[in-house]
Amino acid sequence: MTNEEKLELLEEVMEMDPGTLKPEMALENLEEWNSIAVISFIAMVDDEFDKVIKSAVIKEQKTVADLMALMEEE
Amino acid sequence: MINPMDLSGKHILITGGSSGIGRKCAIQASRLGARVTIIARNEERLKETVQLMDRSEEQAWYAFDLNETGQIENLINTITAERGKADGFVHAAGIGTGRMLRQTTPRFVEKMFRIHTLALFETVRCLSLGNNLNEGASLVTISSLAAKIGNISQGAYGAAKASMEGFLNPIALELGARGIRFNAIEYGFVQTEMTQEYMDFGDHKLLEAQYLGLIGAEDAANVVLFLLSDACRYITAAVLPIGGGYGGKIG
Repeated sequence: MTNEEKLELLEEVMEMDPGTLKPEMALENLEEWNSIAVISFIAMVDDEFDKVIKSAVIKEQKTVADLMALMEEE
Repeated sequence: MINPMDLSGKHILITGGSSGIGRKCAIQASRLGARVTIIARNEERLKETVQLMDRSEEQAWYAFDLNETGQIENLINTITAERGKADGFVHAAGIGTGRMLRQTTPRFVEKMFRIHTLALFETVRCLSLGNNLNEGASLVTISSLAAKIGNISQGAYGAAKASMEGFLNPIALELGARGIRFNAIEYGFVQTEMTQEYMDFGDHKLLEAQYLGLIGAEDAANVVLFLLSDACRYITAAVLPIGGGYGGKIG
């Protein structure tokens, strides 16, 4: 999957307009990165990459690029 | 001194017995004198749980994926052949994953219903066959308050739990002729890894609604043990809400 496709999936998860999310953005500054987005992120990674991510792992991530790094099959 | 919850000489089967409420049920049942057989997927956790039980040498584990519903009959027959008929059964296996509506796809719904509904129905059906249960046996399934009023993201989870409750009365009636009881417990928030996953990013005001606080896993298990014991031999087809007051506080 390309980085562009990953960003599109993340924009969908955070309900943001296409093209607005950048890899270097800090998650703590993103209003859209809320509890519902986290639930959606876990579900998306499960569906797309067949991988279950624990909440503890998500808590450690700092940037959009970190989330993209989790978006790989194991 | 008497102990109405004594389980000496009884054989108790527990699915999801290697973690959460199931693990605590296994430990408590052993402390009350039962021979316990636990079923779950993860061999390491199963072995760990057996070590935590009283009289470990009497206890047994079977590594099995309950999603393989076609193999449950074989599993139950093997267990009763090797360990004897069951006097108690607890369906504690489950997954608590939340999903918003747009991701509540058929594949996800099927996954939720497979473990909560199909695995329960099939295990109970197989236990009822060929004298796999002793007279007076007690069956308990772990439901959730989400069966009635789930929170956001709990659509599939709540529906799957509710299906357990629809199964309850007809089966309790049918098995009642053999003195077998069947009950469900609707839990609120219990202190387990599964709840932690749900709460980590969730709305913590939910816990305020449960005004007695987060339910300890051992406290949750004790209610299961009560239902397994002869202390409640006239309770059947009941759904017990163990919610720490959840839903009763207004404003």
